[in-house]
Amino acid sequence: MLEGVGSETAAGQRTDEGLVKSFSEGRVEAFEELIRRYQVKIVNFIYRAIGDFQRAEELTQETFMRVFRTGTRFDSRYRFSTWIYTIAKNLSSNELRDRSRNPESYNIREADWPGDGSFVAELVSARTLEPHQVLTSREMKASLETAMSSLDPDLRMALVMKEFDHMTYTEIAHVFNSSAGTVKSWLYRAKRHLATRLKESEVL
Amino acid sequence: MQPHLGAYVDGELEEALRGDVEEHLQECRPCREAVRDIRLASAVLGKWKNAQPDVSMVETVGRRIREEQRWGEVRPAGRAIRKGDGIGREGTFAVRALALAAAILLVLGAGFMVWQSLGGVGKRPAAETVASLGRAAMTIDKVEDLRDGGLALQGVIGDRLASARPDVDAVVQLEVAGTMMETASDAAQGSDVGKILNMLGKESVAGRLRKDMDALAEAAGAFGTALVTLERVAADEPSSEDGGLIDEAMKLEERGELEAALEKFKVAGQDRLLAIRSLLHEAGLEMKLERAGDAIETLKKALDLTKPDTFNRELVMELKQRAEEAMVLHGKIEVLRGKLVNTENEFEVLSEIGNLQVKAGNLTGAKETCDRIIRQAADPAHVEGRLRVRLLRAWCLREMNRYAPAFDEFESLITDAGEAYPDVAMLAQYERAKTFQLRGRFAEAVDDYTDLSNTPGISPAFYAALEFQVGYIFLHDIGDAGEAAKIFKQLDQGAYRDQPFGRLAAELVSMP
Repeated sequence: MLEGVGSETAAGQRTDEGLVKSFSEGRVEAFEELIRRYQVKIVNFIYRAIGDFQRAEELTQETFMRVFRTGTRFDSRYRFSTWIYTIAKNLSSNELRDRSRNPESYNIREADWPGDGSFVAELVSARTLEPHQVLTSREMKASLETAMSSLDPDLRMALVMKEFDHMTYTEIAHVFNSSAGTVKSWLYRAKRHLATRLKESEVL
Repeated sequence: MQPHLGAYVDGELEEALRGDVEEHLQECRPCREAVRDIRLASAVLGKWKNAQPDVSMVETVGRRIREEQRWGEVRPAGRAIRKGDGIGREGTFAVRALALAAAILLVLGAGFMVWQSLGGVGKRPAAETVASLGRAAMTIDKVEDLRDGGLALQGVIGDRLASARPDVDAVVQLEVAGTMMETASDAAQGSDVGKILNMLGKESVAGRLRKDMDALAEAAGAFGTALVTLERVAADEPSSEDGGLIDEAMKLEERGELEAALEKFKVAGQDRLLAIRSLLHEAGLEMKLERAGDAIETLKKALDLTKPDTFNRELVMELKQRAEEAMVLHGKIEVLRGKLVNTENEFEVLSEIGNLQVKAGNLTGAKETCDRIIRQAADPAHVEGRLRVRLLRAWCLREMNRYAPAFDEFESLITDAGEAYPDVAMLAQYERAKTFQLRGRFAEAVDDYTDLSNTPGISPAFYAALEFQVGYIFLHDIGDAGEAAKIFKQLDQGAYRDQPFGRLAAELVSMP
C-alpha cells in the first residue's frame, strides 16, 4: 500500500510525501489529492476499529483536519501513510475510551456484509461441513461483531491494518510506536482469539 | 513456535524459519489446526467489504478548513515538532481536565503579562476555584462542531447519570451538568465541558451538598431540560423560546451589538436556571459596557434565584466580586476622564485609562482608548509608551477573537520595537506565540516561546510563563505527557517555584 519516498513513482504519479510537500507550500489541490487517496482507507479503518460508520466518517474528517493543521510539520523522513494511520488510530482509541458508557456496541452495516450464497458455500467447502451446520451470513455477521468487540482495541486496530490495509508488521509497529516482534505476537493472539470466538458461535 | 504461525500465514516469516515451520506442521496436528483457524478467521474478515463515505470528504473537510483559515494561510514551520509525537493523543481524562484549567489560567495569564507591560499590577486569577472554571467553560467560544460537542457531552452526562447515587459527587456533578448542558447550546464545546465536569468530580467542592436529595431531584430536572436542548442541538431545530432568546442575544453579542444583546437577555428567562444564566450574561455585558453598578444589581437578582451551596451560587458570588472590583475601577476611570479636560499629560492619563479598562474587562473601550492615543501626534518622549499602547491594542483585538489584525500588529511590533526596546519586542513575541497557540499552530508557538526563554536576563516569572506554555502545548496539544512532565518538573524548583506558572506546574506535576 505504500509508495516510494521519492517525489514521483515509476509510473509518474506523485508520491504522498511529494503531495505533502506541495501542500505545505500552499497548494491546496495537493491536500485534496491526499484526501481522495486516503478517505476510503481511513473511513474503513476507523469504522472497523470502532464499529460505528457514521462516527467513523466524522473522525475521518477530523483526521484530515489534523493532517491539515500539522501537515507543514510533517517530517519527510517518515511515510505519510504511517503518519495518517497514527492519527486515525489515536482518534479511534480516544473514541473507544470516551465511549465507555456503551462499550459493547460494535456494528457492521448490512450493506457492507454479503448475503448468503457463495459465502456459506465457501466456508462449507473449507471445513467440509454440511450446509445446515453452517450459520447464515447474518448470524455470522453477528458473531463477527461480538468477536471483534471482544478484542482489545489495540489488537483489533493492528488486525485491521494487517487484514484490510495490508500493512507490514514494521509499518504497523511504527503506528503503534512498538516493535515488529510485538506486532507479530499481537496479530497471532488477535487471530486466535477471533477464531476461538467464532468457533464458540459455531461459525468455524 | 506458535507466534511464528501467524507470521507464516501472513507471509512475514523470515526465510530461514519458513522451512522449519513447514516441517513442524507436517507432524504437529494442533499447529495445523491453528493455521487453519487463522486462515478461516481471515476468510471471514475478508467478507467484510469496504464502505464508501456518504459525504465527500474533500468538500466537508474543505469547508471546515476555510472556516479555520479565514485569518491567515498555512505557513511552513520553523523548528519542527518531532513527527510521531503522538498526534491526537490526549492523555488521561484527569490530565485533560487539569490541562483545561491550565488553559483558562493561560488565557487570563496573557492579560497578566500585558498589564505588567503597561506598568499595572497583575492580579493572579483565582483559576483554581470551581466558579471561575465554570465561568470559563460557559464562555469557551471555540466551537468547531457544536453537534459533536453536544453528543460528547451527552455521553459524559449519561455516564454520570448511570452512576448517580444520592451522594455528594453525583449531586454536584448533575447540577453542574444540567447548567452546563443548557449552555452547550450557546457554544460551549461539549468535550471541554465534559472535562470540567470530570474536574469537578475530582474536587472536594462536593462536600457541601451531602445527602441533599432535593438538590438531586433538581439536578435530574436540569438534566432533563439539558437533554432536550442537546437533542435540539443535534437535530439543528429551533430552540425553546427562552433558549432561543438567549441564542439570539449571544449572536448579537458576537456581532458587537452589545446594547441590543443586553435587551434580549433582559427579556429571556422564566425558567429559574435559564434566568440565572441570562442574568449572568446580562451582568457580563453590563461590565463590558462599564456599568458595574448595574451589573451588581443584576447579580443580586441572580443571587436571589440561586440556592445555597450550589455551583450557581458560587459562580454568581465570584462575578459579583468582580463587578465590585470593576466598579472601583470605573470610578477611577471617571476620575481620570475628568482630568483629561485640562492636562498636559494626556498620553499618560489615557494610557492609565486603557490599562484600567482592560482590568475591568472592557476590551472594546480599552481598544478605543488605544486608538485615540495612537491617533495623537507622535511625541519623542513617548516612543516606548506608544509601542506599549499598540501592544495593548493588539492584545485587545486578539481577545475579541480578531486574530488576523492582532497577529499582524504583533509581527510589526517585534520589528518596530526591535533592539531599541527589547522588553516590548519580547512581549510582542510572547503574544504572537500565544496567538499561534490559540490558532493551533503549535510548532510556531513553541519556537517563539523557546526563543524567548533562551534570552539572557529575563525574569524568573517570565521564564516560568514561557516554559509553562511550552509544557502545556506538549501536554495538551501534542499529547506528549513525558516531555511536558520534564518541563513542569524543572519549573517546580528554585526561583520558578514561587511564580504563578511555577505553582501551576507544581500542581500538574503532582497529578498522577
